[in-house]
Amino acid sequence: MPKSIIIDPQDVRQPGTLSLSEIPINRYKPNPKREVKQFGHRKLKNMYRDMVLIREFESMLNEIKTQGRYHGIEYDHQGPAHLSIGQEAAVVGLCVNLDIDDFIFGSHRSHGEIIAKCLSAIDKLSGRKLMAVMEGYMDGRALRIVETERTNGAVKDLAVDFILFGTLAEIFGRENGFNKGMGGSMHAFFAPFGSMPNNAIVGGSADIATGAALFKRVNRRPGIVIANIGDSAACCGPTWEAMTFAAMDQYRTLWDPEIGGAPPILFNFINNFYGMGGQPLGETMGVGVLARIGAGVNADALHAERVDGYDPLAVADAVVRKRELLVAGRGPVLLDTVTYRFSGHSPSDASSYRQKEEIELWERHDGLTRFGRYLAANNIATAAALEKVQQWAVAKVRKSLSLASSLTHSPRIDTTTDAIGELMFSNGSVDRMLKGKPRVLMSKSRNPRVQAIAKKSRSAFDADGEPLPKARVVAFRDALFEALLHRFYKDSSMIAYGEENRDWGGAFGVYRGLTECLPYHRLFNAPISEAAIAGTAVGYALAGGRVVAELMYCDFMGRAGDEIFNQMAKWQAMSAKVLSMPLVLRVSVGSKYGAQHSQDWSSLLAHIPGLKVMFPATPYDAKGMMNLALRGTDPVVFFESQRLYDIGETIVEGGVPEDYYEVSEGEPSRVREGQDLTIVTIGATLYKALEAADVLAQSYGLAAEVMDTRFINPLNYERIVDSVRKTGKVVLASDACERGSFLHTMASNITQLAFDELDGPPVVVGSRNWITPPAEMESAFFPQKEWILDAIHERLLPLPGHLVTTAQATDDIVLRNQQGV
Amino acid sequence: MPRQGQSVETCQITAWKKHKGDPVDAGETICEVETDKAAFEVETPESGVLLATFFPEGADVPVLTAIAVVGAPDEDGEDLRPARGESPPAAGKGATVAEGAHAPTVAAESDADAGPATAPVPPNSEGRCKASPRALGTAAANGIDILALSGSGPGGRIIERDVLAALATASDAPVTDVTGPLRRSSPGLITMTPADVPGAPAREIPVERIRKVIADRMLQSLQTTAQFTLTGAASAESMLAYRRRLKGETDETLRRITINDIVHFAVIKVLKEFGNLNSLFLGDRILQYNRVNLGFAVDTPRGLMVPVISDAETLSLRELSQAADRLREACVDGRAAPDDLKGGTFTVSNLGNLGVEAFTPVLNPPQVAILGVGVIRPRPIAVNADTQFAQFMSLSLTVNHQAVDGAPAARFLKALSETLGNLDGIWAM
Repeated sequence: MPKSIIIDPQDVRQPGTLSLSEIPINRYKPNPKREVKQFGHRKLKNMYRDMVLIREFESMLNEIKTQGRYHGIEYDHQGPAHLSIGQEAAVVGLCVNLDIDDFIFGSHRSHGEIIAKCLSAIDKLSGRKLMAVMEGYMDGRALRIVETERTNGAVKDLAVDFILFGTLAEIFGRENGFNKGMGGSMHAFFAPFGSMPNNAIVGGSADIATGAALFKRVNRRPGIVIANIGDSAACCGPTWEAMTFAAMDQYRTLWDPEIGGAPPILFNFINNFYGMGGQPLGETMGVGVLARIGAGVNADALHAERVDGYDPLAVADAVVRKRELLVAGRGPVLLDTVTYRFSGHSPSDASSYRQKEEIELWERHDGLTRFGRYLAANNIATAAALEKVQQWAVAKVRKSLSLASSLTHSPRIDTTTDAIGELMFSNGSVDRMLKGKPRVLMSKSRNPRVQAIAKKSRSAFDADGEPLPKARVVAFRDALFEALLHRFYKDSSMIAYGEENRDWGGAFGVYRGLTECLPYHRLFNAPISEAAIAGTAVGYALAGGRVVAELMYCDFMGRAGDEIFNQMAKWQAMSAKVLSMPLVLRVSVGSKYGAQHSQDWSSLLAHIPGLKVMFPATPYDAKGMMNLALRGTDPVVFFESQRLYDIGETIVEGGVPEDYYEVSEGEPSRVREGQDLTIVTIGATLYKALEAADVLAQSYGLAAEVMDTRFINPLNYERIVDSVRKTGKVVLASDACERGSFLHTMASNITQLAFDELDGPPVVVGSRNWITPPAEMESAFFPQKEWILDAIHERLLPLPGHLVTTAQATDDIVLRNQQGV
Repeated sequence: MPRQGQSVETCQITAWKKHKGDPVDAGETICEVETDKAAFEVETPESGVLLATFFPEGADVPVLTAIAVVGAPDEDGEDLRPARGESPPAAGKGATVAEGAHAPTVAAESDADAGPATAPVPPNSEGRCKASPRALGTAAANGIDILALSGSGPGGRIIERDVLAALATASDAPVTDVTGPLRRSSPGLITMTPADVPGAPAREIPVERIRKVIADRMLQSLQTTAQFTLTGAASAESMLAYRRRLKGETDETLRRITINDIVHFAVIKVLKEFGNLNSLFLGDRILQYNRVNLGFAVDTPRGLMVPVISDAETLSLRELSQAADRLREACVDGRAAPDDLKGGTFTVSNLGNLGVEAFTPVLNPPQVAILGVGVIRPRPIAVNADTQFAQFMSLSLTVNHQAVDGAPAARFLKALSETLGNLDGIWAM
């Protein structure tokens, strides 16, 4: 698409043979002498200590889950515990050489990664800094608990207790856990030490971590980002999308070299050879050596290599080498870290899918035992010292269990209040997510689009109230452009991407004029990878940047289902608002393009807690609501109807203001005043409702009040209910399919809030429960003016002399539902 | 409890004919039940032993609820007993909630200035009042009797505009409003209560079911229409002669044709020319019909019932007579189907056999006319200079002035009198 890149048929039609890069396998050559020199005794002993501590922590959870007790402490843990017993060497080796600024994201089996990363950070931080972190984290709540049983004066020792306790309290769902117990075992993390969200969805971290790496690259923040994902994540589509996104040529071909190249992302497949009970090797995949997949992504084969995850020093060596590549912008990188879990997938797993002999084989190779022998053999630690480490680990783990299992020390969040509800949204209003001057290529006033808009009328009408040609008015797409431009010039962290976003100007012309004024790293074309578009945006936002991601059609949300429903919606609350999510996902609602390009899925989003959902229908609201969304800190799904991109402002007097303004969050607007009945709409159906209101006025002498919902969530019902209390009658209409439409939720709430004032049941007019037929037949599918009038006549207020032309009586409700249409 | 007609929600068990432990044969009657319109026998569909009955006599039971179990002697039917929520008191209230909930309101508010309302669709024809919460609230706030209103909303629901229309009619009325005297609290009028009558009453009869329907419908008729009555008389000589001739026929069905049947037949024929009386008045429009669904009043042990002969204009006199016989018997026996009691377009009420000279029949809205038939009696007539006596039948025609004016009503009565006076012409009609 960029004009600067020519696709030459001479090149692409050349015969030849593609040779793939070599992929090293377990090439690390142990050399104790070199290793002692490199790490020093203390660090090597610490690695052993960390591995023992992780094994003990996981073994404790295993005993709690299977026997309900550990060293005399009884506890019933109802939630999950996916244990990593056997995988300690892989994670300690991974973390030992990482900086605090390096992020790791993980999976459902990541307790060990949290502990390893945090212990690595504790080792590198001064006592004062450690105290500052612990005291500052959630007002020192977890710190105060572990301080009560402080055994010595060492801050680092205290910090170890802090990490174990904070993680375990989180696993047990306690308010003083790292995320107030809202994440639990599969989502626990501790961001101040670079342990970032762990994810219960297989492969879920791949695109999120890529987005965090993008944040680091775009905003020139130090550190690399590692996605610790399982071997089975290699067969998940979003993982491939993330790798493809991370490997785009444009970082090196089109982006300003000063930005530094590709996002520093390491896809670390922690390859324990099982995806639950399925075996990718020999059963559920055909890749053989997992590292092979790197060759399918780019010419560097993602610098892939297989590493022996049963030797922590081999892993540590690989990480150092790969880190250099990543910092230099030469990523992404893939590691196939071979390891094995002795424990089952989860405590409910009886390991029926593998032989005991296989576990015994691996136990003979156990990385922890072998590393102990290595320390003893090389006179780094005596057998007695190693035994002491084991006792120390038991004492530490027992102490954390005693504190975390106690409801006195560690109460749960108060569910009798709305405490969980308060965690759903951060509700911030932030001009700049990052300090610094936004990088732009020209002043706003020189922007050709800005200049063009300046010549247009802010309103759809001229001074005499006559409609102006569409080309001469500030259209819906111009209004969005103004809001986006405003924030791009304020917030240096703000970036936007999606399909056809740059040279094309967005498929519907919203971004036209941005290409000229924004450098590539702030506005770029993404691959046609909706999961990666949404997932990387989640990672970018939770890392601290503002991002606008675009899905070209609402229908494509299915391709990004997990990223929108499970990631974008949930991380603020699952982190107990440690993270914010300043992410606006623009979603265009189509028409005329048939069954897979013309669906209004706003109702699906309404059903997912944790999302703000906006759907403006006028240019005024488009700008005011986009301004609101772009200053907020919450995830917003921002619906735009393709029917409206070219319309001017016909409702608000004076048209679209030039200056900055915001629409009040959650407030529906009263588009037309009336007292006889209320019509409430979502999206472009507003204009059908206005046509219906005209007929009601002209033919039946009825004054309809027309209200545009604008906000699906949050939504203030007061204005709507006030209107219905006044009129007694309400019709709700939108382009969403009728069954399960959010309109039914509204109808139910209105019924409950205004029952005594109702003169009839709230009537829902939605699209038919069909596929969207081709353009020529759309009027049989989407609500039309006639549907609204007929529904009023049949269900609310018989209109004298009205001739019914569509089927809106209640007769068909049962039949249609019986038929499933 | 079988559903006795589309609109029936509950039935009252009037008598158990079989009792627990009785053997029963398929088709045998196990109990009798009654709706607000008619009585029915409930037959067992299967043979066996009556294992259990779930409701006592007098219970009002929602339709399609199990009332009894027939099975093998060693079986126990108790597991089929309806759950508590389905027990008759609760269900009974649910089914008639509007009546129950608003009867007190009516009583308390009837002092207020409730004017007549427009009357499109009869609201209480099914013993239920369908009204929106808003209409109920507006009516209560303004002292409008919701039960007296007819609904213009979907399915006959009383909606706010019906109440507002009633209110407007009330407030538009002149100061010398005819409703004035109805204001029981007006100075000079004494409000009477049972306490003013010394001693206990001999009987206390609950106003319910058919009585309740009659009470509501008649009150609604008088409150919501502008009805007035014209009286006249028709020579009965021709009718009596024809009747004598029929008496001599061998065919039983001809012998059974009554004077009343002849009146019905004549009414139907004359209505052909007077569509304005064969109409329904719906407030904002009048629906005239070509078909004649003829209602006729029947005195039954339960009270007044008005069965309807549908499409009566298609019937011969003999067929008309047979249809009337069948319906009359069904009403008296309490067997009339609810659908036999609906849809009338014109009504005839005959009190002549009880010696009544003339009376003011009460309209059955939204019908616009009802004919009252009085006694046949000799009247003096002047023949030349002589006074002779001839048999005359008195006729009373009540019409709704909202729909029909005096002159057209009079013309109908005249045409009817002439037709009855000389039956020869009727066969050509």
